[in-house]
Amino acid sequence: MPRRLFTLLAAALVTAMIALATVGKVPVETDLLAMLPATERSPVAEQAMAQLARTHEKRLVLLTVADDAAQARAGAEALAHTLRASPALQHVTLEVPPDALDTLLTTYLPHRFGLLSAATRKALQQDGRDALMQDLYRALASPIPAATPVPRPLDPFGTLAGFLAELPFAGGGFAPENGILMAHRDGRSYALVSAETVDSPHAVSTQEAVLEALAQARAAVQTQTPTAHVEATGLVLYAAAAQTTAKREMSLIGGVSLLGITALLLLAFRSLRPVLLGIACIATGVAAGIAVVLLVDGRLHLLTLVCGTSLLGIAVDYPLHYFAKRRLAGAAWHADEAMAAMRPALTQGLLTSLLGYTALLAMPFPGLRQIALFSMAGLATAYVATRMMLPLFAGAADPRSTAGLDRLRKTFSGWQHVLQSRARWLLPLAILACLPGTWMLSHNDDVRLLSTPDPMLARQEAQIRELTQLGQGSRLFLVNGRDNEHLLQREEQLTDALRAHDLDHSGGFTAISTFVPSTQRQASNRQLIGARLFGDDRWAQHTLDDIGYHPRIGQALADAFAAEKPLTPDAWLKLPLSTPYRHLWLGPAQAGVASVVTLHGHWPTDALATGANLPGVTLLDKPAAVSSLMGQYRRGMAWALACAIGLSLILLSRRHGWRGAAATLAPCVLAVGAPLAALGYLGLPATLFHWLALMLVFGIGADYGIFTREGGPQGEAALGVLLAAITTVLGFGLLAFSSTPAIASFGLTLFLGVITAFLASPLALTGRDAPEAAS
Amino acid sequence: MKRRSFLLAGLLALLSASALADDALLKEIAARVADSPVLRAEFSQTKTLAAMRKPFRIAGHFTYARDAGVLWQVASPYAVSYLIDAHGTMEIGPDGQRKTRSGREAAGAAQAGQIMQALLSADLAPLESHFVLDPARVPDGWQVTLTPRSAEVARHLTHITVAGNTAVEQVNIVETGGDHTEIRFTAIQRDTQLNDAETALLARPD
Repeated sequence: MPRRLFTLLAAALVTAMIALATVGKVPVETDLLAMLPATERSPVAEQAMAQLARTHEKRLVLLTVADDAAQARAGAEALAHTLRASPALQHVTLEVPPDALDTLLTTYLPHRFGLLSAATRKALQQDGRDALMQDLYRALASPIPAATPVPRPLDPFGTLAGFLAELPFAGGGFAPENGILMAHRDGRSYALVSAETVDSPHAVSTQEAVLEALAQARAAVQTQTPTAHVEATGLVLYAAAAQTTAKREMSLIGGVSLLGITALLLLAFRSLRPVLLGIACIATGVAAGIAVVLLVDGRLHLLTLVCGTSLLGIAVDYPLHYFAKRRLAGAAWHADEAMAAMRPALTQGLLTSLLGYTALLAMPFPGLRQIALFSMAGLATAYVATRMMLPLFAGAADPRSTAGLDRLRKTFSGWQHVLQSRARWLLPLAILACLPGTWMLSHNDDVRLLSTPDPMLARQEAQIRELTQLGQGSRLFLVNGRDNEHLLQREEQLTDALRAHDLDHSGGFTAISTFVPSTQRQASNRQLIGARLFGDDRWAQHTLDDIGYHPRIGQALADAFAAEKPLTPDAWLKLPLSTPYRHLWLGPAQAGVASVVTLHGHWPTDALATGANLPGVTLLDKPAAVSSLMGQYRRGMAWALACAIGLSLILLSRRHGWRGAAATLAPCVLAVGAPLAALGYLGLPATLFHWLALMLVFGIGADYGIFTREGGPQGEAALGVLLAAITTVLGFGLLAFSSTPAIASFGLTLFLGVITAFLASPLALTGRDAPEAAS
Repeated sequence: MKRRSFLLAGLLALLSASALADDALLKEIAARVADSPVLRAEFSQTKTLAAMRKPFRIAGHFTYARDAGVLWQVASPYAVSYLIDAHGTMEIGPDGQRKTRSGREAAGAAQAGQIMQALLSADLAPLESHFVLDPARVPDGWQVTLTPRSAEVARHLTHITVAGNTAVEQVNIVETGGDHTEIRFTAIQRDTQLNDAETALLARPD
């Protein structure tokens, strides 16, 4: 009765999951970073990262590229028009307000003497009036008509113009032309359009809608201006590409492996029943895995699903052993007895696998935990399914001839004999052969191995970044201060230090203090320039008079200086001008206020380290932090694996004795060692994902050893192990063809490990013939 | 110049051979300003500003090297040199010290440098997407009037005229407020190569 009940429940679960998936209600997460743990200790830092990530992740930057300005402009108009029609996009921006330059002037002119560029400030400190004299001449002598938004008489020494030139306005080489931001380079014209997704770019619905809108926009641009084309970048495009790749790989790899497994089982068992029951067991396992993950985490990660397809390979082992036994038994088969005889092997196999996954469950990587959870639930359910459903639906004996299988068995028993008779020196030799390789093994924990971005998208992004000097958002400084003024002063200490390290101007940064210097800095600037221009000797007035300016110009300048007040961050943050930068100002944070300084361009590590050593400054380097964390987990994983092997040894020794347990685990240890040695000899660095795969190899290798040893002294379990190995290679090994390096290395490791485990499986019988003293 | 040139940011020239104007006169002008690798001249520049009692004059030496850029050596009222090329503008002090500028400023200066090169070599066709070009024949040569196409530039600049015969002899820049700048070139000489001093000045350290 419980068997039928279980079957009904299983059927209901599988149906429910299929139904959910069909209506698209399974929330699938594609953001790789969501699989990573919180890397920053301080909540302010996490807030900074999250706030910045939100600003960056919804953004979409587009360019129309054409041979001349008119075409690029027409293309951009068509592009913006089409994008505005999409409900998935908002804030589609093409036109810049015509008074943008006036706003700049009205904002800064009233505070002009407190605002100096770093270069002017340095020149004033070093050369004093000589520097000002040069600036005065330069403003008039330049062969190039330097038309700035600042009228010349209001800024005869060009100091405000110098300050404005340093403002890190987003858009780099772009400037407004008839209300549209345009750039021209190497004979091509570019027009800039920006947009934001309405919802999270990780939502499949958003991705589909954005891709559709973009395709329509490209078509519209093509019709309007055939010579123009569109370049685009944004996280949503990468997420969509990753989603498509994963879907394609899942259906391709999953499909091929399912086909291969079906064909193999049909060939071995000449009946559809084992195939269908095998699929039923896996399906129950996968459905249970999805259900448990959804219950616990609320959403399923794409990578869990991809790695979950590998569960296909391991869950099918249990029914395989059952059917192999049944097929070989011929007419002398009794289902319940056979199941009873198999139970210890099945249970030990499951327990050792679960041991391996428990170690993963303990990891603080949310993604790894989810994969472990999925696998444990799936595996346990598949185990129960095997024990419940197989005797129910395949209880009858299979009396057909086993001649073909016997030949296969003979071949393998030859190998088994060779291996067993030489085990005494083959085993130490194999271990010796592995040792130098594992000694040579190197590691690489770079987080970028997690994904290889689509080359087309990467090329577009590189071009857009180069033209717009867009910040990357993954490396930034977090600055803390007691109050606004203290915070701005600390930002200035940081930006001064960065400038001192960036003599070739290859790096860039965006800081609020660049737009609105601290009151202290403004006062110091005013003092610096005031002492030279408006001292008792009225130098500015005399000099301007000498050079030919009307006396009223100098007088107006002196009056403005006397009446001037500093610009405050509160006032600045209220201006429309500050909108694109407000996210950098975090405002009140624990014990004071905090802000963020973002970086772009090239920064040497020592420059960043110098900045990070300043008081109140923290460098947040997400890729580096995550990479170092991956390293920690990789080491943790290695220890977990060692522990799992030790624990399994203890577990198995209760049944097989110490020597027997050692023999049983020998194939598994070799299977773990061989891929590591291979990587070492090939000089390939091992990653967290190789170790992840080794964890599975451990479970599989342990299974093979246990089944072989439990199967009987003549290698009765060999057929089951062989089938299991082939199905696993089909299920896992195919992952080696994935275009995601992490998944590919996972697949390759499993492939090597499983082959080794299979070939070494007869070693588990060592000492089996001798009476087992312990049992 | 030590400032972001907002006007010129909008003027970026498209120096592409494919964007040749079809206007025959423009071609003729470009051809007439003979294609010498090196051109030397004396220049005098007069700025007339509403804010000034008297015009501001500077004078000096001008070197145009087709492959290296423009060298603008001011001799009076004080000594300073500017190196203008596709990479931007670099100021060289009387002591020979070179002043580099930040990436953003350099971008604006590079655009300005390209425009100056186009103006001074009379190869005006590349400026067509930013200016309406109006070439005309005048008694002793030609004159081209450039009127900005974009509203942002037109806010500051009314027009530019370039005039000459076998070389550019005069450039006039008229700003919207009435301020204007006149550059005159005299003693124009052609050469096939730069001398050592010029080569040293024109060499970019990076």
